[in-house]
Amino acid sequence: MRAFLAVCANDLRQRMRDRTILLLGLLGPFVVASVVGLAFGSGAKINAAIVVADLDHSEQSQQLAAVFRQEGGLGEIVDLKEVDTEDAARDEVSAHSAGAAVVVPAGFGAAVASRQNTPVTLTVLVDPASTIEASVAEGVVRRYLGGIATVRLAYATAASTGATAAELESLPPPDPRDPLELETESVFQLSAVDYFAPAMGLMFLYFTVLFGAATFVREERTHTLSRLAVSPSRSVDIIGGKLAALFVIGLIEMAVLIAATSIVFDVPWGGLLPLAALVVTTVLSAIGLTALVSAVSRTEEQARSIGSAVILSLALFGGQFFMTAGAPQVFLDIQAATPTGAALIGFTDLMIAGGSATFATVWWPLLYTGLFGLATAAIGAALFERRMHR
Amino acid sequence: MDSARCVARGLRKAFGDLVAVDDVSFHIDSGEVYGLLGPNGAGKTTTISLVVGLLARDGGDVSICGDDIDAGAKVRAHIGYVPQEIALYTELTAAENLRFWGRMYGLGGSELNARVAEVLDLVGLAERAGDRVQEYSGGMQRRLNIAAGMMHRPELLILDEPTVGVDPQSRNAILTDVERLGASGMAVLYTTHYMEEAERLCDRVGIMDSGRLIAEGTRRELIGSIGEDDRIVIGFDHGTDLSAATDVLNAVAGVRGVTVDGAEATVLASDGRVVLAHAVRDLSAAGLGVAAVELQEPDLESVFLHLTGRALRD
Ligand SMILES: Nc1ncnc2c1ncn2[C@@H]1O[C@H](COP(=O)(O)OP(=O)(O)OP(=O)(O)O)[C@@H](O)[C@H]1O
Ligand SMILES: [Mg+2]
Repeated sequence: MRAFLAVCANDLRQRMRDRTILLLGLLGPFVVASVVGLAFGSGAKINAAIVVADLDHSEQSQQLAAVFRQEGGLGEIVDLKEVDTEDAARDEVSAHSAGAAVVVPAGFGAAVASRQNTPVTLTVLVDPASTIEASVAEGVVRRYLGGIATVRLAYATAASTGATAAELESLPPPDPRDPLELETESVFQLSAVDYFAPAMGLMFLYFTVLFGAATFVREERTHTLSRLAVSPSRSVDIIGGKLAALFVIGLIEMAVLIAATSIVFDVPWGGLLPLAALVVTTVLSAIGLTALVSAVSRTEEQARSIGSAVILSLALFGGQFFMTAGAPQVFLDIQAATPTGAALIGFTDLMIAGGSATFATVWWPLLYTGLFGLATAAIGAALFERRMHR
Repeated sequence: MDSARCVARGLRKAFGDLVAVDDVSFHIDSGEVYGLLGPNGAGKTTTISLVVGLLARDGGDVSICGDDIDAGAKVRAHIGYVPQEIALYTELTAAENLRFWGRMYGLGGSELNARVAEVLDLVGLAERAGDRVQEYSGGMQRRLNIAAGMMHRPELLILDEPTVGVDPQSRNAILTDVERLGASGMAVLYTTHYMEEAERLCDRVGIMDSGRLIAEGTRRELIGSIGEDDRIVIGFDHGTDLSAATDVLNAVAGVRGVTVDGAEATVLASDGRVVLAHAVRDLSAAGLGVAAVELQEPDLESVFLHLTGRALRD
């Protein structure tokens, strides 16, 4: 145990003298998350800027506009602006100050209320670059029109079966609110910063920890490995101590990232205990890969290039570079099979679950990254041990 | 053999077709400095690696202070190992290095601190204790390399060519350190390809060549074993009668032969020091002017040359 602690402390001391590690590990993810934050609107949730031009001023047109304002529903992500003319709406979209506009023409309310086959017209103006706004606006309009069609069908059916005028009158008017709330919510829950804070954090965590593989090979080059091997310490203490140092560095790095992004960007990391557990197993997965990379690298240069190759492939498939919501299922399956992807899914699931997150929310990422880390660490350490006593 | 700190029997190691160590046996007692003398590639480092368990043996066995080297990690606590290369953390200070290596051998607390100070003092680096090793000169790094192997007061100290690449002054300091350690009762295994180091330090020397231990003994025993004579080279004053001188020299007891070359005579004798004294006395009694005298005794270099037909250093 004394040897384990001595090796761990010794490695930490050396790493702390290396400024580049500190910069890369602590500032790196923060800088990248900030840049992403700036690019996507600094830290706030995605705001879908939508304009409604109500030329009708009827009960029905107000109902439609209210859908976009609904609290706990679209109101959470839509920034609604009402204008008086179609031209004003068009200007807003052309000037990119709104991503989409819904034009409600005069006579809309009467047409809806008529329950006859009077055509109901709604115009949606979209900025093709603003896919989120466009799909939200179109979605709302389609649902609304669908609701009208349903009511009209019910009316026609009732009329053809001989219902009285009073009975027909009692059929419900279309209510656009009910079916609209939930569908949009799950897709747009995370802002870009929320997503990229863990995504980039994971990539930088892997960089700092995997580059630690070079310190194993380095001990060989500097012959300190022979000296360690001849000491009365067990190899498991020596290798374990070195991995433990990287583990501590990884934990610190993740803690700083989580603290900083939640303060600066309001990233909602989720429940503390499941989050802490996921951080531990995630760092463990990086440690395991480090042990493997150490075992197969002959030179420090090799350790770093193998490490980089591993990190970049994992980052690509793990969804570190782009938001994966909506990607094909095959890709999502591959993502879940990479340790970085599984961890990222875990972190974002914790954010989505918010206050109701428990260990059960992330049981799979926890189990997967934890077991992955332990297994690879055991294999890597066993392989490296053979280099100490040949 | 109670006092045996290190016993190696029939050590063998091959790298592919190359037999780097071939049936090597030796033992080292406490207080004894044992030298492995041999040219580059003789197999000294490989032998040491087998002794400390860094390399797996193809044959033979090793016991350290009575325990088999394979008996477990604890056996290695008897050994202080100083590799041929500098094996230190160069971005740490000397004191940090020593503290770390001390901990790896189970030292701690005030004992560790005291020992760090003591060892730094011993190798003359106390004043530079807080400097990073990368700022040290080569000679200082060498001495710290040795210091790191002595932290835990090992019973057997193994030094692999500790003076390679060191200036004469540092080298002398290192040799003095080793002499002191031997005198303190530590057993020392010392490898070198410098004949003078082996002669100065080692109680017994094993001469290695091409993986084999080709001779072993004290310096006297080794030199005696090759039966080579001492040579006395005598330079005469200008105009001296050299044939008269040759007669005088041949008459001195113990002289085995005299050859003359110019104004110089070379005398072969089994005990050069005694013959030299008598020769000078008899020459001056005969009125023959001696300008210079040099005694050339055979050394370990001559032993190596005699045994292998090659010089130690090519
Ligand atoms: N790991 C290895 N793989 C292959 N050959 C090796 C290995 N280590 C040593 N050798 C070979 O074994 C022989 C003995 O090498 P060794 O290092 O023991 O010599 P040495 O006496 O210590 O030489 P030097 O004075 O140069 O240090 C050499 O021919 C060397 O090339
Ligand atoms: Mg050597």
